[in-house]
Amino acid sequence: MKTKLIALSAIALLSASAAVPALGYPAGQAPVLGLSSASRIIPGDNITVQVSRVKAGCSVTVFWVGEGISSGAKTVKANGKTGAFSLATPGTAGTYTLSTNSISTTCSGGDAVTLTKSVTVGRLASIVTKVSSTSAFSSKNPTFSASGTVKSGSVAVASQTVTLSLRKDGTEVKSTTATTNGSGQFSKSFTGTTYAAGDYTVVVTLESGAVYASSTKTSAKLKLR
Amino acid sequence: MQLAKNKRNAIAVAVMALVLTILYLVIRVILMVVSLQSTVNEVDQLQKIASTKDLAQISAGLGKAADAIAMADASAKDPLVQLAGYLPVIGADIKAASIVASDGRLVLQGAQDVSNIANQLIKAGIGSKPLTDSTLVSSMRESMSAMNEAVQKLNRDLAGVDAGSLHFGLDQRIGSAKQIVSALANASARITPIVQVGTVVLEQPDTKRWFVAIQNLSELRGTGGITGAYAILTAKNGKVKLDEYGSDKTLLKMGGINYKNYPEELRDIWGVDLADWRDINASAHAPYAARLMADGWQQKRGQKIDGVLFVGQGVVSELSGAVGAITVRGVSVEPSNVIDFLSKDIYAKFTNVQVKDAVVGELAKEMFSRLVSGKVSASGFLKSAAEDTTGDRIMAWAEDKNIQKLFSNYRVSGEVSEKFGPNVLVTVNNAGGNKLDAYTFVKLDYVLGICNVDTFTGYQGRKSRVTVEIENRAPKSGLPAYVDLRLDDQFGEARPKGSNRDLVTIYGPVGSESETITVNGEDEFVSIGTDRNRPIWVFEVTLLAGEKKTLVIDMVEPINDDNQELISGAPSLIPPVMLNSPSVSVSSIGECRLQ
Repeated sequence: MKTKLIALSAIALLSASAAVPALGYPAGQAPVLGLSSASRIIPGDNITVQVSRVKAGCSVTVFWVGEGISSGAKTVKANGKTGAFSLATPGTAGTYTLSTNSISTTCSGGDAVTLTKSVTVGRLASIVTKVSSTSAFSSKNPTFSASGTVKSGSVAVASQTVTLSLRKDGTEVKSTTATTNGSGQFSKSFTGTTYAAGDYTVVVTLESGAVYASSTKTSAKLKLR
Repeated sequence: MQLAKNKRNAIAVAVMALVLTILYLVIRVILMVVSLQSTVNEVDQLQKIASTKDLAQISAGLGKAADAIAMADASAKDPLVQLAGYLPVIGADIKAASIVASDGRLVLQGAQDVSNIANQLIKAGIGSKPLTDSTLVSSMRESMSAMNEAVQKLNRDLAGVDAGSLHFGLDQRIGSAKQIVSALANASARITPIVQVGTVVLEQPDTKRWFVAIQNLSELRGTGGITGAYAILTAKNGKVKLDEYGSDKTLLKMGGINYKNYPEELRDIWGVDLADWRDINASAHAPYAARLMADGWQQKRGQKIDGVLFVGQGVVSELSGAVGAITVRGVSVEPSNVIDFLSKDIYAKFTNVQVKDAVVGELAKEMFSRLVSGKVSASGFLKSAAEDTTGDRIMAWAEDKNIQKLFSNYRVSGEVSEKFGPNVLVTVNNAGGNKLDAYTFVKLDYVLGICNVDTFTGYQGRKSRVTVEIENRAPKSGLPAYVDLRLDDQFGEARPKGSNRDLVTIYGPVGSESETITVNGEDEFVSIGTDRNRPIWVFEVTLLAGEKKTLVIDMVEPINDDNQELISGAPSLIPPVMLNSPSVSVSSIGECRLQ
């Protein structure tokens, strides 16, 4: 299951408040950072956001943490909502943190709060991989290799470098890189190491680039006796 | 000459074969019709027997009806009869009779099994005495599940029969059968999960403590409604004891729950305080709330809770049918009025909140006391289920993995699946702190659209749309103050009488993403997160009395999984558990293929 990948996907915007907001009965009273059509974001495109449930007259700013991209301040209207912020996304694919300024106790109606959302900009790739060895016995001094395919939907992710991390019982024993061909396929052997008995997996990582955000996939286990 | 003679012989043989075939077919069809008529007679007899409430006699009557219909079924399964279903004019009649014969046989057999086992369980003093034969309880569950499947199949198959195309008086008979079977299917679909959960509770050989969360669907939550009352039951080997009951005030007095085990990323998506007993069931995933309830009871009372059952006014009305009328403080609460009483009338009758809470507690106590003492009426149970029009459904959770697996297999666990597939869930959480969801109605639609669209989440996909129409049918005035409260402290927003505020959550398919999000056709800002590996979109909807809003999400959802394999399975939309049964429609333009 590509749980981690999905969790970081463009639509999976994990809310992670830096301070305790005004939570309590009934639901839905705390300030909230709302987004509209925030999926399928191409790097550099604008997204629109709105902060609501804040006291009228308070000032709110939205920005990308560490990216130097800020919305400028907006004043909260009588209905407790800011107008729509239009904010450019970073130009490189990846996962970024969208944040508000600190909303004071007076403005939040509860504890002071900084609202943040983790947003993935760009496409994600889907990786299929498997690990194999020339023998199932460590005494035979086998060679491990990893192979697989990187696609984004129906499109092969070609000419991209993937990092292959061979792990024994979860700990890395060897790492290498491979480049995908025109069909998005890659294959690479791990050489120059002897292997002890145990469960081996390969973790394949596609790093962020201009189009694709970082993706990771772990292969099924291969037992070496 | 010889050739002509041979030809004549061949024709004669062929004609004779045809005549015999037709004769055979006619005999088979007549047998089927006669057997069905005989079944109808037996069922008529059965209705008379049913009034005696003698389960042994009912079971015998069902046996006779099942024997009669078995002959009709044998004829219906004959390949020639099945082929005759395609004949012009009478084909539709033969097909309809075949459906009644084949599906009806399974229903009658199932009913006979259920009544047989129920008779044995009652004789064994189920509920009040330890079981001498523990397999009886699981047999009851299996029989009930099988009968429910048979009833639902009969209902589906009959729904596909066009009564208008039938002849020989069958049109009227099938038309009336459709109505009866539809009511039976409704009752069976409501009763079966209660029996499935109840029998699992009863059959445990070791003592288990169960927390029954009695939800008030007038104030909606992800698993149904705010916990208005509770009961603590202990059960062992078929014997059940009511240990404690109370209203939500007792729970609140215990103090806040330590919720550190709750998924961190969900803690503020609905803006709820998870330490507060009133707020802990905001997610659609019932095991989250159940775990918090069990943790809370352990933390505050030092007692281990082995499982949690969630019931709302609908399930309570069925239990009310089983235990009969209960008089609380001068009010007779019976199956016909229990839903309205608990969702609306109680607030008008008992304006003092403390008294109102006490009434709920007393009602719960008496109901569970009667249930555990075995003073139940099967016919009352069935009747109230048939008359239940709520969108309530029982959910159950158990600490024991094997028990939880059973709940999951019977689809009563309220688990939100983390698997890929075209399935969507919708929940409503009341955000006004009122009881106005007794007047909330929703209409849901999920449409699977065009293929060959990639998701940004890495999958091949297709477009789809989820539409939620939500309506507040509360009156503008005349409701008790406790019902149309607005406890939400929304800055600068008018909160006139009868207005409500709900958080509508749409759980998209795993890996799906939104393209546009609108309310009444205008772009909308929503709170976005993940729950159970699914994207969720939380709409904050304020509705004046009588107002309706339409929420739409256009999505792109995966058609392949992480292994780049095609996802299979029919699309589904799981509606909110709520008082007013939601209207649900699901459609697809067809299967997509991987490129």
